[in-house]
Amino acid sequence: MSDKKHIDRLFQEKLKNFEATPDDAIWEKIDERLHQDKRKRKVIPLWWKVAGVAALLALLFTVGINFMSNDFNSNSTNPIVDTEKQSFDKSNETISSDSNNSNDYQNKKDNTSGFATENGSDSENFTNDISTEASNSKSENNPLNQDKSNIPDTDSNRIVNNTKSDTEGANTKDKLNRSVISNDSSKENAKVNKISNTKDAVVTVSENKSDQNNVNIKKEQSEMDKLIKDSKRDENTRVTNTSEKIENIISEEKKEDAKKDNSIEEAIAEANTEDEKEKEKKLNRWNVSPNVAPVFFNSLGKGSSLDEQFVDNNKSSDVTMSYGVGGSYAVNDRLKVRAGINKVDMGYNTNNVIAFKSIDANSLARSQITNISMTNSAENITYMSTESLNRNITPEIINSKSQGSLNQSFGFIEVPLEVEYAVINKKLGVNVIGGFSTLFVDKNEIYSVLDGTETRIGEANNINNMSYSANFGFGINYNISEKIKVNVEPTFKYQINTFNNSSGDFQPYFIGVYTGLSYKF
Amino acid sequence: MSLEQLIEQCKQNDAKAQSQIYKLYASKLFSLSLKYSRNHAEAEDNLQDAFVTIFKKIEQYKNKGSLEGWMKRVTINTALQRYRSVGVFDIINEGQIEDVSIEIDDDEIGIDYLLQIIQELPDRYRLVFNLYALDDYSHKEIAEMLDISIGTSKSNLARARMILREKIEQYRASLNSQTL
Repeated sequence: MSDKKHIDRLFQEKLKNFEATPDDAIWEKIDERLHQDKRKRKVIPLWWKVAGVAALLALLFTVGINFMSNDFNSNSTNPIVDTEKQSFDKSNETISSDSNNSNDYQNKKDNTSGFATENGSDSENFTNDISTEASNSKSENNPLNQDKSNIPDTDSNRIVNNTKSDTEGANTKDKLNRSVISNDSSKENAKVNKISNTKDAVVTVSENKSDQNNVNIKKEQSEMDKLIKDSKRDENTRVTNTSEKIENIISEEKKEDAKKDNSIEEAIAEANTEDEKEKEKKLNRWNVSPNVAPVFFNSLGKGSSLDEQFVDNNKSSDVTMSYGVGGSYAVNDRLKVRAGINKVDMGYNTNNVIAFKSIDANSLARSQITNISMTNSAENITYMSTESLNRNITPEIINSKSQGSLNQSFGFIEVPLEVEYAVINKKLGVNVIGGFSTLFVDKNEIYSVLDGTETRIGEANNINNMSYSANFGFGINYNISEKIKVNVEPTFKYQINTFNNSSGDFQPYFIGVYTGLSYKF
Repeated sequence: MSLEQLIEQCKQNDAKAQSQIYKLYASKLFSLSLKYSRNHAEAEDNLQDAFVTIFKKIEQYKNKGSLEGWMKRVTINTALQRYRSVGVFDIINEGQIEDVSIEIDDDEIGIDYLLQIIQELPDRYRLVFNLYALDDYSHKEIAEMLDISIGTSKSNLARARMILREKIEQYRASLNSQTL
């Protein structure tokens, strides 16, 4: 046994005091591994937050722009389609009237031409047609003119693809051609001239529009870019500030470990440690707050979303309600990012309107309001602004009518995305809020209010399915307990791209006093 | 600053405290790693892994027994883990041999050489020899740690000793031939 121990003991004794100093690099690796893990773990949530917000913004913008351009297409093509149809009708009919004029007697005599059968066989019908045509073409010219006059001051963003309008032009041509062929082949030349004229007119108008609108859109985009840049810059400066602070601390504390070759990594790491401290201090970053608000809708400028004739009319707003729920995330003590979903209803009255049943549809120059799609029952009723009437020359029957109003009642699902900054962060807090909302139409009705009776007459056809608002507000909150706060937030929301064909200087906005509880968790 | 305070700070993942603990124990644990490893590079890896485990699991150290003892156990376990994961324990499955008494003259043999021949031992022989002869583990403990039988542990130890003796004798012979 003593022998056996001998070799063990030899090693024991010899190796007892054996110590080998490892390479310095080993500690660096260990340190890295210990703290890299931490870094990784913390960097991910931070990245998720930033990336999440960025992704949300990107998503909203992309979807928004897509929707907007879709809207532009559909909305702007609608009027064009109208004009086309109208011009198609017009040309069709002017053609017929033309042919009437030129071949008046012949037609009368013949009575057998395709025309005559189509339009009716006797001259009385012809004259009738001509008169309606005249009035039609008059009223048809109006929208065109309106469109043109809207272009310079319009805040509605309509886009028109040149190609689209071209193809539509081509379509018109086709249609017209077809109609021409079906009508009468002998007058082809004359008609074709007219057709090409109409086509040209349509194309030029739409081209003008698209130019104008492109400019508008560019402007808007550059504004958006600016906003994004600004917010980025803010963030950057914040990060650099913290990193500077941190670097100071480091240089004081560890002189030997001062290998700050990469300040970015350290900045991240330090931001994380700060993050951690904050977390320890205040773990409740999330807030949920149901809210309700009385809402008041109005326009900054004098204008009307309904029709040109109502620009000067007296307008009033109903006080309506908005309610919803929001959530917020506290980035730090003072800054919160918040989002939510709200239902908001608005009511807007255009006063001094008279209504009468048109017995003869042709007796008035215009029987419809540009931006209202009337229900069937309301189609024969004509609404007019009394502002545009000269009482002295209008018939007594009109003057004696009682005045009413048109009540536009519409609502949105609002998805706000806002930043809240706490100016005062005490038991009683004050904060400022800025951001934007995306508005999805969920209600769109127009009522006439005459002698106290309210009748639904149709809906507005110029409200975009999706629009935006720029939001500014300030909030006052009071901490009831650690977890629960009461908020009151008067907020101004300037609507962007809500109406695509408004008259005058119509700049819609709404003000809501958002009141609610917010619960921290 | 006392060791207890350092340990407390290490539990908070404090880099400075960790660095101090490392400085206090690095060379001891490195020499331990060297003995359990095949070579210098592997020993460095082992030391690194061991310290990472130590600092991550320092909360499990309950001030029972010395910190050094605990850290050594972690280091040894790290080494065992390494060879366990590689699967070397299954490789040697030879017949058991009887324990023999091995005597060796205690003369001047360099530590480096002793370390070298330990590292040159087959993995399991090396581990068993280290555990039994140098770190005072019993065959029962070794059998459990390496998931082998006590007999195998004893047999491995005997073989390790034989190999070591042979190498020392060879070394001595070569020294003698050089001096002659």
